[in-house]
Amino acid sequence: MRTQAVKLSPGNVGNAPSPRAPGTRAWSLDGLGWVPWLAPAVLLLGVFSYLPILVEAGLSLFAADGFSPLRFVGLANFREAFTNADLWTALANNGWYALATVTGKTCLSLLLAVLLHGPLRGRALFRSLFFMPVVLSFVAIGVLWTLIFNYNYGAMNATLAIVGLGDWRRDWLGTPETALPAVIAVDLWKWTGFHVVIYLAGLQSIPPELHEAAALDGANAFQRFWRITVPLLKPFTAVNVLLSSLGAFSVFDLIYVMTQGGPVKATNVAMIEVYLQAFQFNQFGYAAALSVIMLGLIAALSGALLWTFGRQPSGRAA
Amino acid sequence: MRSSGRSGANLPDVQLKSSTASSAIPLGRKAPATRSLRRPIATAVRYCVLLIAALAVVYPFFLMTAGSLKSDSGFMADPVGWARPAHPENYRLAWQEARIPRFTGNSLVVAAGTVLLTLGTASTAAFALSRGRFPGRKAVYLAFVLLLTIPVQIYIIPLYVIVVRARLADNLLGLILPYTAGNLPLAVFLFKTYFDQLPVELLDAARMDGCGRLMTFWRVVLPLSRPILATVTIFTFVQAWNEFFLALVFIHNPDLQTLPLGLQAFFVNQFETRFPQLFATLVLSIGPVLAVYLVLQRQFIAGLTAGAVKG
Repeated sequence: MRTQAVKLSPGNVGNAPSPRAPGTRAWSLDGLGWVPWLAPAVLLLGVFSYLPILVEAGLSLFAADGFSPLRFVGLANFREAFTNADLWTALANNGWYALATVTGKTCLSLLLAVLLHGPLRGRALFRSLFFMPVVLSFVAIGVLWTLIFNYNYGAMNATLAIVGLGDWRRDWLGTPETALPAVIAVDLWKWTGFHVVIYLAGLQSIPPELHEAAALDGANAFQRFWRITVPLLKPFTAVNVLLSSLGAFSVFDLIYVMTQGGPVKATNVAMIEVYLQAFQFNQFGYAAALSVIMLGLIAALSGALLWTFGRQPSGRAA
Repeated sequence: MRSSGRSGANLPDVQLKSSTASSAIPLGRKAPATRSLRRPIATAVRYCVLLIAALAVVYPFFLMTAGSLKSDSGFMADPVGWARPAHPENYRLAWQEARIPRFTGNSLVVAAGTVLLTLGTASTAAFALSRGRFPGRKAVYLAFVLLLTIPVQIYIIPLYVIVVRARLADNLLGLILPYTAGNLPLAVFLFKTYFDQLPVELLDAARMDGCGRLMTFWRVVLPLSRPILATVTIFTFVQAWNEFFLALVFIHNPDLQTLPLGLQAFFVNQFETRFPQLFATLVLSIGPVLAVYLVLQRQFIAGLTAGAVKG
């Protein structure tokens, strides 16, 4: 043992003074020596995440416009928020957005993943193509699709005219009824490929013997899908639903670029409302109250989803 | 029953395959013989749906590229076809007027800074949390993991106040620091999960040998951690490169705008006037990232989904 320890350490080879003496040379695992290792990350997280969350909770109890001194108003900001129709419109839009993107992304990605699973010529190519929009920014994608949805020169209307559906042409982003669905479609376009990859990982994890055995027992493809594939994909569905609903309740970039919340608040979502109240109208206290509401909503939502779907696949430590 | 004999005969073959690394076992392949007639049709349907989906993904990129090569009048006459003749001068105009080089440079600084700072702080913290046995380590780890699902935008207002007070508004460091903080929960989680799986005997041997913390980390841990370093690098880089909301709030100096910010500003100013030039600007701003993605697809897909698959 001794010789081995000496051999392992190059520094000790020449004048072997104290070979392995536990407690003297080896550093302890529980000392203060770890402080410098943790300090930078803890400091960053403290100053730029936890401090703002605390300040925000405090700020939501004040009237703050950024110029005059803070004035304590208690829960008035929250009362104002909950009686203000704008918040409810925004939350309803977030709700529709969540419903549409979560179901759309989940179903579409499940379909595509099942079709992609197994040997198929061009499988890797399809996967890479579907994933392509994921790496791009919502700003670039928003600009691209705004140009496509443009009334006069957009490819959408031009294509409709070419295939003889000229009557369907409209100002997609300028009409209250179509603006939100249009933005939702772009979100689906950007993220579906991401969820396909998650589901593909899930499908890989299902032992093929299960399908084999069920097939031997006479189960047809649909039965095998509902009885084997879907239940065993549950943890992956959980991740997909969690991530897409979080995205739906914190959506900002895409809407800011494409519609700025309009027309007539048809696409106004919570984060747009927070941004406008804080940085256009200088209502920092009120905007902080809105953010606290959203923080509560997102925390509750992720808690509820994680609880509903039970423990996660690789048992995360939280 | 006729068919069961056949697929039964196939079974050993299947098990053999599944015991090897690839679990991509064909569903259709093992189907009983009665269904062999349906298989070509199923494959055709499969390809059809996938091709339609692929077309839906690719078509906007085609429109963008074709549009970027048209003259203004050519575009208005035909917004959907290919560009004939090509007008590459849109790119020269976009390059100059949209200040693509400037914004790309700023984005590179921000993304590189965020990646380096995240790698440095998250890996060292995760090493301490994985190896250390000090009291309170679980609480510290929980503090990181708790924020996994909380988007930074939620606390934008106090964050703005802090950044302004710290004189970091209109300063690229004012983006790098909050971006890093935002990436830390996932980065620490992934690093710690990875470090936990390293053979503890190896680390103990190094420790008993008088190899210090820093030396162990640098000489033993990091060389074994290439995959996770790549993962964290990629998702951090993509986040910092694409981030818009914080940049919108913190950066007002046009010289310091990042790519998304500059693109949005240029788009607002140009809107309705010059589509081809806007398309060219888009190609120039998306192009580099798409090129890198196409070369490193595997790493990108693994890197960007790591949090979801592991979490």
